[in-house]
Order: sequence, then C-alpha cells, then structure tokens
Amino acid sequence: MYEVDTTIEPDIIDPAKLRNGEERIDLDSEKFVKIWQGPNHPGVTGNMSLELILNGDTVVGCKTHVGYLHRGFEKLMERRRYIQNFPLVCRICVPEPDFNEYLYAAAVEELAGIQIPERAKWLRALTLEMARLASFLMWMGGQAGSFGMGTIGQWTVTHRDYVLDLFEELSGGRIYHMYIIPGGVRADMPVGYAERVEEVLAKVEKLLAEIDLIMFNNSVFKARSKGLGVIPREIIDQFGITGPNARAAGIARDIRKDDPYLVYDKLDFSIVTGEQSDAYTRARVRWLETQQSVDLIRQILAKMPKEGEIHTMLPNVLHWKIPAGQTYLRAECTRGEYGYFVVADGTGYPRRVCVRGPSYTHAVALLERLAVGTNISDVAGLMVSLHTYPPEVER
Amino acid sequence: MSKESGLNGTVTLEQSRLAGTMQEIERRFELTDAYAQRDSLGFVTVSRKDAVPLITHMRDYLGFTHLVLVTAVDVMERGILRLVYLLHNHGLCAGIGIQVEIPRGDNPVTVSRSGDADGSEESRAGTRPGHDGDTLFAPGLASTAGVSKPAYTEMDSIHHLWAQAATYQREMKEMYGVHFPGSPRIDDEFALEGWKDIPPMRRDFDTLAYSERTFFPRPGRETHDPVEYMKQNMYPDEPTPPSA
Repeated sequence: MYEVDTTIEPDIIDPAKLRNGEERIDLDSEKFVKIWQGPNHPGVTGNMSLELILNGDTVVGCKTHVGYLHRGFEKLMERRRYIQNFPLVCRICVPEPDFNEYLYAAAVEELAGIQIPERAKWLRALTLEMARLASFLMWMGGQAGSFGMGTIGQWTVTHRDYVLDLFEELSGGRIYHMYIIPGGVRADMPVGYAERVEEVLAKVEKLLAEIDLIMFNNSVFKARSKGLGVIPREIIDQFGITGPNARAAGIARDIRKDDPYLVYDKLDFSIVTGEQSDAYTRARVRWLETQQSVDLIRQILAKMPKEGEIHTMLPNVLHWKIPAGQTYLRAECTRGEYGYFVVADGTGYPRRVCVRGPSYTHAVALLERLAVGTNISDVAGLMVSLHTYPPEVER
Repeated sequence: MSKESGLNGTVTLEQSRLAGTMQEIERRFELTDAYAQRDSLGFVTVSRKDAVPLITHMRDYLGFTHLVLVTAVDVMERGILRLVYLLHNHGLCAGIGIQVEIPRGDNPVTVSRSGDADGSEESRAGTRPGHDGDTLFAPGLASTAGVSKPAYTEMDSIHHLWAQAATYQREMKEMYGVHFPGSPRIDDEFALEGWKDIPPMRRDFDTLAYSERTFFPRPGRETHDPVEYMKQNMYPDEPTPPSA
C-alpha cells in the first residue's frame, strides 16, 4: 500500500503567467511533466505523436511530430510516368483516396489539354461524394469513441463498410479504388447499381437520425465537446483553416460552391455553417454535411446522363509526354481544401507533384495552438474534432 | 516581361479574373514573368528581394489572405530552386503562384551532433560500402570530409505572415535544403528522423542507390524480365521477340 501525503499542495500554474512570460516551462522545476501521446494511440488518426508538456492535467505546451508514415510519394511520382502514378496517388489518403485520384487526373488533363466526357464527370462526382460519405462515417465513429461512446463507432464503421461494398462493386477495390484515371473513369456503373446505392443511403439516413439522438443529445458528449478547441474566427486565414473547421466558425466557404468543379454547379445545395466554432459545432456541421452528401448522391444519380462515353481515348500512355506547364487544382474533401500542384517539363515524367492536404495546417500549427490549455483527457477528442490525417502532412 | 497565354490556350492574363490584380502588382513590383494558366490561376516570377514585400502586399491590400502552400521545384539543369508561394483570394476565387528563383548551391548534408555526416568512421573515410556519394551526392562534403558544415541556400521567411508557413519552411529545409533564418523550429526534424544524406527531394538524390545501400536485399526474392518470363511460361516454343 502506498500512503498518500495529503499535505502536499499541487503546484498548479496559472496559464496566464506562462503566456505573459512570468513563468516559463522548466522541466527541472518539477512543476511540469512531458508525455508523448502517440504515434499509436486510439485518439490519433493515423500515426502521429504529440509531445505534450503538462502542469497538473492541463496541457501547457504541445509539439506535433510527423514522419511515422512518410512513404515519399511526391518523390516516387517524379520517377514514374504519368500513367504509373495513378495507382499510387490514392494511397496518400485512406479515408478519401478518390480526391487524390481526381485531382491528379484533372491536373494532368488540364496540362495535356484533354476534355473528359460528360458522363465521366458525373461518375467522378458520384465517387467523390461517396468518398465524403464514407469518410464522415469513419470520422463520426472516431469522434464518438474519443469521448467514450464506442458503440457509435461500431455502427458507423459498419455503415462505412456498406459504402465500401458499393465501391468494391463499382471499381473492384474497397479502400483504394483506382477508379478515376486521366481521361475519365475506369468503368461504368453495373446494372442495378443506383438501386443498391439508394438502399445504402436509406440505411445511412436511419443511422444519422439515431446518432442525432444518441450523440448530439448526450449530456456527456455535450459537456466534453462544448467549449473544447474553440477556433477564433480571426485566425481562420492566419492558420489556413478550411473545410468544416472553418465553416463551424461561420465562414461560408466551400470549394464545391465557390469554384464549382465537375458537376457541382448543376447540383442544389447550400453551405453548412455553425457559430460556436468548438468541437460540438464542428461535429454538428459534419453531421449535417453527411446528410448533404446523401442528398447530393441522390441528385447525381437522378441527373446523370443515362448513357454516354466514360473515357476519352488517350495517346499511348507509356510514351505519353505532357507539354511543359504547371497548375494547381483543388477540391472540397471532408477535411477541407485538398489540392494538387503539378509541374510538367515536357517529358514523360512529372517534374514535381506537391500534394496539399488540409491536415497540413490543422494537425500541426493549429493543433499545437489549440491543445494548450486543454485537459489531457480531451486532447484525443480535440484532435479528432479537427479531423486530422497525418499521412497527408508528410506525403 | 513576357506575357504568355494560358498553357492550355484557354485564357490570357488580360482576360482572366486576375487582370486587375496583375496590373496592380506590375505597377509596384518588377515581375520577370507573368501568365495565366486559366481564368482563376496565374503565376508570376519575382526576384528574391521583392518576394516577401510582394507577398505581404498581396495579403494586406489585395485580399490574398489564404496561403495555400509553399513548395519548391528543383531546376537542377539551371542550377536553381524555384520556390512557389501559392496564395488565394476568396473574394475573387482565384489564386496566384509567386515564383522565386534562388541559387541551388551545393547539396547540404545533415551533420550529426558529433560534427560528421553520419558520425561513422566509414563516412569520414568515404569508404562506406556502396556509398559513392561524397562527390556525387555531396560535393560540399568532399572537400571538407569530417568537418563539413551544411551549405544551405537561403530564403527570407514569411512565418510572421501566416502561422502555417513555419511548417512549410521546416519541410523545405529538410527536403530541399533551403534555410529560412528566423523561422520557428526551423532546425527541428520534420518527417525524417536522423537523416544523414542530401535533402531527398533534390533531383540528384538517387532513391534507388539510397535504397540499395541502406536496406539489404531480402532473401527469397527474384526479379524476372517480363518478356522472358512470359515467353518461358506461356509460349516457350515461339521465337524470341525482337525487343527481348
């Protein structure tokens, strides 16, 4: 048995003193302890570690460390022909590989001056929205799990699997689809596919209604997420924040609406925003955007041309040279602005491909700022609420 | 200044929604190149001394408040690194890539705390098995073996303009060997831990050679020439194709 000396007063430091420099973090003072959260931790999506300095159970310092999943994609792409990169790019991002496929293909098409068929645009939009749906479902389970509601995670992962079944039927792959390729898409929808998509959408809608009751009306979830990780509106641009993290602060920006790509200008939807900019509001915005994805998938299936070409004839791709030039293309994924900067030098290989993932700032600069002042038990919930995904940081 | 039309031939600079912005920055800064890639995307090239003032002006007065990314393109054949700062204007819904060409310099080699390239005797003597890199990969190291210092090329920092710029700059130092004096945590490792070679995103970093000298070949693996292998397995009696 250990005896507890109850006469010792905890040495809690006023965070304001740290901010204004009256106190400084000195590990030898025994007022602070350094702990590492990750690289493997249930609250960390992907592999990433947080170097946390604690005073009591309050975080007073945070540094993020990435590199545990660095696979050198950008370098690999410089050594492969344009067509060889298409099965590679999707592997940058597990939750939404399709955005990588689309942006890479669209950048190559723009540089090569290739127009894709109308039906291919609709099929691309369909897969992007299905990817958003799958990613939101995965995120919802993670957010609920980080606040102790593991059951919701089991439900959402199950429903994500239904969406992955649809991807498997469409492309042959569950996680990495390699479906969107330069020139169009790889295959048309199988017979009866739209009906099977609708069946899954109905299941997801039912699930979302249940999550609304069980998660958003749960007093524990509310108590822990309201007021957590508030992103002040004035730092949105300073930190390059995009997506639901910005929209939850009332910033009505959505690339699908502001700068429509593919067929988004033909779809009817509005930008979802919030006001409080805390973890609860971000969760609410994502829940609403999940419903929006369900609606958009239905619209796409209803408005899509019933027949037509799905791929443009390309030159011999093994000897395909792209004219010199450079471009940047972006799309709205579930986490924010996803972008590809591609430089061609007139040869058969890209000179440079730079992937801009939204987590680049959300998981590093922003998380380092928001974690300070947070209770250690809420760090995992905070990180998930920013929907960070480390592999798109280190590419 | 050359004004090229869009590379895909769709729009000129004057026709793009960036026309007003371009006129404004042309009036204040000396651009060496400017062109529109499409209606909502343009690129300009400026000198190093004009780069940060231009970026600051665009952020503070022209509404380009969103720093999309900072990256580099290694133009090894011209001995330069082309830094690209991509800014976005939410009001115009358009972006401009600001390009700055800086000398590439020698390939810097990360120096361990002991002062050596990797702290090993082999490295000091240049005799590490399979390592032909002292002259090929690190000319700066060859002349000063054992006491080398990193010879980073430098660029002015923009960490005071956007918080996430420091992260980009830390990555650029590690991956391209571009130093940004004054940038927070610039000397911290980004994605690579204990890296002891030239910055890996430079064009002359040989990924295959690095793999071969770093990782031992795993036993039990065979590599087949596809043409030979197919012939052997599928049509052994056919004559060998001319390309084989």
